[in-house]
Amino acid sequence: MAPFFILDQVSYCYPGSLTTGVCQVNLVLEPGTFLGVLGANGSGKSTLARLCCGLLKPTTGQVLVDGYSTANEEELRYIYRQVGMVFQQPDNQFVAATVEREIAFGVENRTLSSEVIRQTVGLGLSYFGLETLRNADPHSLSGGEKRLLSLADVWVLKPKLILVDEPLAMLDPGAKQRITRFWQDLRDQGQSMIWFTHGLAEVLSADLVLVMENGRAVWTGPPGELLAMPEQARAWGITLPPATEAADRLGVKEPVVTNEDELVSVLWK
Amino acid sequence: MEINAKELTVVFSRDGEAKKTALSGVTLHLKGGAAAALLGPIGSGKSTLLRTLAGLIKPTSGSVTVDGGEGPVVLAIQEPQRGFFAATVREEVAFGPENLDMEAAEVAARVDWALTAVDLKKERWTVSPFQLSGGEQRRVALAAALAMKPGFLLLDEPTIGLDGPGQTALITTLRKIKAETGIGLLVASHDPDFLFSLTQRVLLLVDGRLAADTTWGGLVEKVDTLRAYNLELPFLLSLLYRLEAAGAPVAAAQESEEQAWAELNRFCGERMKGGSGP
Repeated sequence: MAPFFILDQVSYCYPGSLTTGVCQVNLVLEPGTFLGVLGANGSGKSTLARLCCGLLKPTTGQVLVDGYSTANEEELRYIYRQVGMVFQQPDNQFVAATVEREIAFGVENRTLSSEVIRQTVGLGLSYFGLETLRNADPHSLSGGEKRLLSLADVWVLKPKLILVDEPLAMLDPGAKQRITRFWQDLRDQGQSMIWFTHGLAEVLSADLVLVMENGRAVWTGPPGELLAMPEQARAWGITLPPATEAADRLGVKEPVVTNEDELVSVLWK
Repeated sequence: MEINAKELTVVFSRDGEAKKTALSGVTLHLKGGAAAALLGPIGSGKSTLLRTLAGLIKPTSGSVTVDGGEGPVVLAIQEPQRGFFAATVREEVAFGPENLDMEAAEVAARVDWALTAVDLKKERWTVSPFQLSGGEQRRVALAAALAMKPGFLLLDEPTIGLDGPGQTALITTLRKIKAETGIGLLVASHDPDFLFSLTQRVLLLVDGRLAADTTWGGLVEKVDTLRAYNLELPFLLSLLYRLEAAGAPVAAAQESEEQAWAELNRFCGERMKGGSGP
């Protein structure tokens, strides 16, 4: 399939700052790809996320979505429909007075019948377990509920690419399972996702991971290869899966362990 | 310093919305110099409890009393960076102490101490807090709370946006401050591993009620309750629990991270010496 999302030598400098936020990053994504972007605090992950969705324009280089450039104001309208962003701080994106109106807001800006809008909003509420909160004020929700709502807001718009910044923060294990299923469904529908985090465990099922350090993309490859180089991963500020860390500390070198089931069977066999 | 919460009930009512009971009959006694974890599913009332203990929410019924000790009860809220307003990091952290009518030199000393304690690089002290990354902003917010020299510190999801080294630094900082100042800590988080490395006591909040008040070792005995609410044990306790359930000669009910590691190392050491398998 043809690449639909391209970062071509993308750099960004914050106004008034001498240091580069993001420096010469290249990336090509095909539809249905799950990319994990890993890195320490301050490595440039959130800046890269904002460049990917057109909220920031590259100082040099270009971000292309289906051939349209984020640097061009006219083309941004198209890009905003294709790329959805879920922020680290969910409050930043809420505009409506109730959870239901909040989910409806984006859908209503598409030319759809009221019946389709009603169905889509209902689907978003049930998919993210928000039915009982439909009349609540988004700003009155708990941190975890806000996170689910911000995902629902973007999900109902069916963008080709969803960008999520630390999506598992403030979620309990039940909600995390919802998010895992959410990703599987996206992949099945040919949608793509870029997941920005410092935890490798969150992106173990990614097709590819890109590691950021001081604004530069310093490594690209499948997540399994990163597991095999734990010292380097730690040096980049990446958090390894707890089972991998524990195995390392207990002197289990082979096989590479990524979860509790595997570690239990290695330790008691 | 001690915080006593008696029969706390908080009911939210907004125009046009059904009343929501966020807390229901919560009775708690929190001691200074001790660290407690606040666990619970999303929307279980953790933030409401912290806000009520800090005096930011007036309970619908019940009472909160603070006895003895020096320093205020300070709450570090979720997403604290939303409250930033000052031109530089130093000014942001100085704002609280300045409002306590302190000498300028003492304010400056407190700011230095707090920013050093949270391990923020010195070249970042003079930039705008809005220019910092999410993880750096968390450190500034914690420094602002610490600069108040609290007698009791309530933390709401303090690890959000912190990477591994950032979380390790936070644990080290909080342990050090607890040892040096005798501060009391109550920490709400969805990250049981973080809580396990910092706290001894565990409070489980479900639907606004205190469902358990126990220790980490005691929580292992309540694993079925945890699962019923879709919650997890810390990784090390869960690993020990699984090994014990599979018949391995380990004791799962460990009270601290150090004890859990000691038990795992002992077990692995004996296995290396040729101990029996399943």
